[in-house]
Formats: sequence, structure tokens, C-alpha cells
Amino acid sequence: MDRTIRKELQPGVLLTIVSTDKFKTSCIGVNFLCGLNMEKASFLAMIPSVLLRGCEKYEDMRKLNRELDSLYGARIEPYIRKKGETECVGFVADAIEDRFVGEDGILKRTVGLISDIIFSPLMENGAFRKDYVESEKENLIDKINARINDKRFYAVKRLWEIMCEDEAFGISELGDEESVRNITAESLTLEYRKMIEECGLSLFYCGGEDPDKVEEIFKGAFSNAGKKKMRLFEETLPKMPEEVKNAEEVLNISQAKLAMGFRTGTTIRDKDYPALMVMNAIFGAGTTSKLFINVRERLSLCYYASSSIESVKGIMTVSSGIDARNFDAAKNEILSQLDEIKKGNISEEEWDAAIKTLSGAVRSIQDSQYRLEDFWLLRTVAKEGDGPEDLLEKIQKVQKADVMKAAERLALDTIYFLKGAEEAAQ
Amino acid sequence: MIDTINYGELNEVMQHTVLENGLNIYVFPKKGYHKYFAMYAADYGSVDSHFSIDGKEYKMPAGIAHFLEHKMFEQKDQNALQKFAATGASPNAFTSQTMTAYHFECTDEFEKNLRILLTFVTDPYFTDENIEKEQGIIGQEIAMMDDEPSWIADIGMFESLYQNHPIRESIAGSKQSIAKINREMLTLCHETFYHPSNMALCIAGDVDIKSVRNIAEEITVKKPFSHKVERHYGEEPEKTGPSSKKQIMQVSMPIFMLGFKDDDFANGSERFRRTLVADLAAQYLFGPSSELFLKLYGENILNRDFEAGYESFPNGGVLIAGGESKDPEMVLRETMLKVSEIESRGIDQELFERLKKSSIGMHMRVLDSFDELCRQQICAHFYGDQFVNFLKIYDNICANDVLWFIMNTIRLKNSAISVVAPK
Repeated sequence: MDRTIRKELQPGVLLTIVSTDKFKTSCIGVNFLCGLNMEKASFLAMIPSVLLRGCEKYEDMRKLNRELDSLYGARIEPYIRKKGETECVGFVADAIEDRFVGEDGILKRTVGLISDIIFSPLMENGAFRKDYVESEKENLIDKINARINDKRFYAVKRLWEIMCEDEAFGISELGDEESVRNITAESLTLEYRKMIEECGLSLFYCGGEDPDKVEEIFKGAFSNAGKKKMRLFEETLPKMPEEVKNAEEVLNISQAKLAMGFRTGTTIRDKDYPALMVMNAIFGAGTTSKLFINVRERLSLCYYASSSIESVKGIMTVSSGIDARNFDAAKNEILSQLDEIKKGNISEEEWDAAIKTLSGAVRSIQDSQYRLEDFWLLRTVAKEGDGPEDLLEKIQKVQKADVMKAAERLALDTIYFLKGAEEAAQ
Repeated sequence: MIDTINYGELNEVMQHTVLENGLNIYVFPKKGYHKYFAMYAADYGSVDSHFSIDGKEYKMPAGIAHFLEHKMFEQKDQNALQKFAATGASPNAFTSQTMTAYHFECTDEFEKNLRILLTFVTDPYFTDENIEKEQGIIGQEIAMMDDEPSWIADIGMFESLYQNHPIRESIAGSKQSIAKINREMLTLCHETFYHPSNMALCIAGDVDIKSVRNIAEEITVKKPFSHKVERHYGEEPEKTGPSSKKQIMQVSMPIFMLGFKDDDFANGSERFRRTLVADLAAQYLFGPSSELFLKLYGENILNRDFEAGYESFPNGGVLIAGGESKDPEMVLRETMLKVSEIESRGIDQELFERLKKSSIGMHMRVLDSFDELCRQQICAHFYGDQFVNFLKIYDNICANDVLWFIMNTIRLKNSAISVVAPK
């Protein structure tokens, strides 16, 4: 049976251990929790990639990657994630467990390596190496510009930017090209030092080692993280929208995208959050949902249509790919499916399927180390303690009236339409 | 009869049984997991459109394997997706160049889901009407893939590498080719390639193989397969020089695929080993700790999305390296420089040993990923091998194997570079 232990190692440094021996690897997460803001986003987004270029002990990628190879292909990946209005900056790593390769110390070496990368970066005259910074600037700019390549994802990003233009949530966690251009090795080093000193640190381990030994390893590796205050959950629920914003953009694509953003009025910390999850499952999550069955299958109004919840900020997003001619029909049908839920028109089959899909999804989080890492990071950000099993129990207790209420609380904020150049010309 | 193979060093068990109709069943009885995963796959992909049955030749329109995959979900009473939906399972399917696979993941009612899976893949329901409807849906899917730059680059590469081999064709075919598909063709392909003797069932999860066996015996066709099937892949001339292809799309940076045609490809049970050797060569040349990657990353010619690997298919194989780059041609030039250096200096033994460790680690990870494990095991089974044998095979791979692969395959004349660039 899996066991979860959460512990504050020192002020502002929280360790979550999921103890289980069912995986071949151990998974390690190390993330600084920083406030999302316009000035800092680009700096923060660059830090993990620059750190991965080299540290005092392994001064270039070649030496670093060779050390990873000799750890049976241990992986340390830079991660920048937006959880509500918190920018999580750090690394997620995995390594084969010692017991499978007959070598002792792979976990200890991997955690030590991450700590070296974070706390002992390669410096020249008190700053990061210029060439590393310049080349990671290019990479980040490319990444910012590449957002347009995935049209489905791009449409959702644009929707959020437009919907939350006056809120921190509207800021991209990667920042923007211009602020990246202005970064220097010195200014980046300054922001890096601030991050290390000021931002809370979320540590995660999932694997089969003895939890006490794990705690010792992390304590040793992160003893120089310092004392700080864990950033509090600062998101405030915005005013409900007074009128719906409409935005339309044109790109050279053949399949148009329709994205809609709703304010949910409920976040992960509210007691009616499970009801919102069930509502979302009935409405647009997966092949049993109203959107899939009606908008896609029955009326063939779209190629895909689904909804998802951003639980910290409190946003529900509907994402769909349509033929541009069907814009009005698709939009109206999506809204009318939502009305059905408000009216309580949920068949027994729809209800059962949604509960099953949702419970299955929550239960199977426990079968993936990376999903567990993300699950607990979100809970650390939101200062929320429910594990998957607690959540399951609450989902089972949700009543139809709760779901109708959750749907009733939704307020449509923004409609974003991305269409092809050909349609635009007509 | 049920075989149980213990892979003690990996703390893994695999069970295996064969039905009288020829269906191979594999089970990895994973303890402690909440989910179950099952994959039922046919040794039949987009390259298998030209074949003979008992001497009679058939040429099917491009994209028929993929079309058949879509069409299978439809049943007389209800779409199979809806049946899965009622149990909360997540079903899906894919068609690759070499296989068609149907799978589901669930946390409840495993046996009920298994029945749904085996039933809909066994009993097709084709009508002229539902075929015509599907032509519209797949037409949309093809249009969507046409917006996918990496997909377009991929096809461009295969087209430049091969002249006749059906690997050139897009998996989904084209709007024109799928318009020719009719009920008779689908029935013929289903009867030929979806016979249990040409399929494999693989399950990961805490299940009892005996009940799996009973269910499969009850649902799959009883009759053994009695025809002689030959597959034709055409005569492929040797490649005599480098080729390149460039297409324009709305992307922020050029996306490229660099391919090297492997004329020494292996068929049959040598295929798994060939794949592992070629993958090591790919890591040696292009992996995260290779000199080439580090140099070009430092010069901002490559980024972390750069990936390399080997793709194996009947009568062929390609080592592919691809990603985003401001100067894809430079990646090819640097590759050829590196190859001539390897030819004169040989393989760095220490680097080779480290890469082997890292590749073993990567394969061990597959054991934690149910879908990847089932896919790899079925793939290895179609090759005539078992996935978990990777440890043994790696033991027998030496630096010279990698050297030979590089010297024979990574030649300029065997190369094709396909680029999707912005205006």
C-alpha cells in the first residue's frame, strides 16, 4: 500500500514522500514557487535551462550528461509550470532504483547532482557564464515563438491571455521575447539569487527507498536552501464578468479553433470543488461527456471538443476544433449542453459514466510517478492536503443538486475564435 | 498450457499462452497498481496494402489499414466507444506503419472491458452508409494532419528515401485514396489480417491469465487460418545519392527530419537486436551526451527537442534524427564529419559503455509504462522475440556492432533531409 508523508524540512521547504515499491524508478521533483509577474517571468523561465548547462562539479553539458548516462540514464528535465498565479521553477528527475541494478547510491548521487546544479552553478566573476546565458536566451525565444506550432494549445493560451489581461494569470510563464532580449548574465544572476533566497521550495520523492533514508538524503542535499516563507495562496477570485468578451484572430490553418473561458467561482480549496470536477466530467471530459456525444458524435459540429478545469485560478476552458462555417452552431450547442446540466438533464448513464471516468482518472494518478509529482506540487501551491484517496471519497458523495449548482455558478467570460486565412478572406 | 517466465533481476513476471486458433496471449501481472491495460493488435500496418492470398494478388488503396481501424469501432447495436464509456474505461487505437492496435485502460470491470475489446475487433459491421460517413471523418483527420509540421516533415523524408516501398505513403492515405475504399476490401483485409493467428493480446495489470484465456477462447474465431498470404513491398533500388525536400508552412522555425536508409535491415527475429544496435548508434551520434549535439546546442543550431532513433519495418529501416533548427543542412554536414572521424578513430569505448547503461535504464522504464510495455512486447512478438530479452541482447552488443552500423548506414548517399520552413 502506498504511503504519503509530508514534512516541512525547514521553514519554507516542504518535502512530500510517496512511498511505494511498484515502480522501477524513483522520481524526484525540486521546484521553487514564485509569484507570477510580468517583470520576472522571463528570468524565471530561463533559470533551470541555464543551470543545466553546467555546475562547478560538471562544468559543461557533456560532463553533466555523461554523469547522467552512468546513472543508468537518469533524467533531469527543466520544468516551468504555471499553477494558478504561481510560477513553479525547477526540475523533475527520475533514476532507476538501486535495487534493480545492484549499485548502491544512484538515488543519493542523483539528488546530490540536482542540488549541485541548483546551488553550485558555474560562475565567472560572480555571474553566470555569458555564453550559456546568451544561448539559453535564444532557446527561450524560440520556445516562445514556437507556441504557435501547436494550434490547439495556442488557442487556449491566447484565450487565457485575453480573458485575464488584467490579472497575473494572463501572463505567460515563459514571459515575452522583448524581456528575454534584455536579460544579461548579471541581471539573471541577481534574479537567481533572489529566487533561491526568497521563494518557497517544494521537494518530492516517489519510490521504494525507506522514507527515513530519503528524508536524510534530501535534508543533506538541501540544507543550504535557507529559511524562508512559503508563498501563500494569494489568488483572489476575480469579479464575475459583466459582459462576454469576444476575440477573433487569423492564422494560416485549415481547421479553425473555438475556445471558451468560464469563471468557475470555485477553487481547489473550496468544499464544492469535487462537485465542479463531476460537473466538468459530465460536460466535457472524455468520450462519455455531453460535448463529445452531442457536439462531436451526434451533430458532427467539431472534430474535437472537451472541457477542463484550472483548479487554482478557477477557470473552465472549452477547447474545440471546428470547420469555421460552424462557428455559431458549435458555440450555441456547447452552451446549450451546459444549460442541460443547469436544468438537471443528466441521464443516469451520463452520471455513472462521468463518476467512473473521473474516479478512474483520480485513482490512476497513483500509477504514474510524474502525475503524482504534479498532483502534489499543485497541492503544495494551493496549500491543500487531500490525496487521491481523499478526493475519491469526496467525489462519491457528490449529489446531482451540487453539480447543478456548480454549473449555475459558471460565468462565460471570453470567446476566442482562431480561423484560417482563407475563411477570413471570404 | 501456460508458461510463466520469471525475470528475477527485474522483479518482473511474464505469462504466455497460445490458443488453438493461433492467438498469442501475454500477461504482465503487475501487483499494487490500480489500473489495467490491454492491447489487442494485428501484425498489419499501412505498409501492408499489397499482398497475395493463395496466389491471387490484391492492391489496396493507401490508408486502408487506418480506415479499417476507424471502422471497427462501429457495431450493429452501439459504437464500441460508448460501451467502454459505460464502464469508465479509456479506449483508443492506432495504426502505425507496421501494426494496428486497439487498447483500453481501466480501473474497474477489467473482464467486461476485455470482452468489449475482443468482440468489436472480431466482429466488424460495415455498411455502405457508415463507410461513406467515415470517408468524411477521416478526410477531416487528414486535413488536420496536414497542419502538423512534424508530420509533413516525416512524410517528406520517407518520400525522399524510398522510391517504391509503401513506407512512402502517409498512414492515413489521401482524400483520393480513401474514397476508393469499399465494403468488400475492408472485409477481405479484416478476414486476412485480423485472424487471431496474425494478432497478439498483451495485458499489464493484476489479472488471472486463465480467465483471460477463457474469454479469448470464447470470443475470437475458432477456425485456424488456412490460406497462404504473401506481402509485397516492391523492389527497392539502392540509394545512389543524398536527397532533400523543402516545404513551406506557418511555423516559427524550420522543422527537419534527417533520415539514413538502412540497406542492411533485418527481417524476422534479428529485427529486435538490429533495433537496439541502431538505437545505440543513434545515441552515440546524436544523443544528449554526443559531441555533435553538444556542439550544435552550444551554437544554437539545435535545442532540447532534438531526438534520434531507429524505425524498423518489413524490408527496411531508417535511422532518423529530427527537431527544430535554423540550419538543418549544417546538422547533416556535421554528422558526416563526425562519421569520418569515427571511421578513422573508432568508437570511444567508455562512452559506448555509458550509453549502454543509459539505454538499459531507458528500457527498464518501459516496464513501468503499461501502454509502452504492451506495445513493445507485441512488437517484439511480431519480430519473433520477447521484449524483456533486452537485457540479454544488450549483453551481447559490443562497440564494433555500433561501428559497423555507422559505417554501413550513415553515408551521405543514404541520406535524405526533409525540411518544413517558414515563408
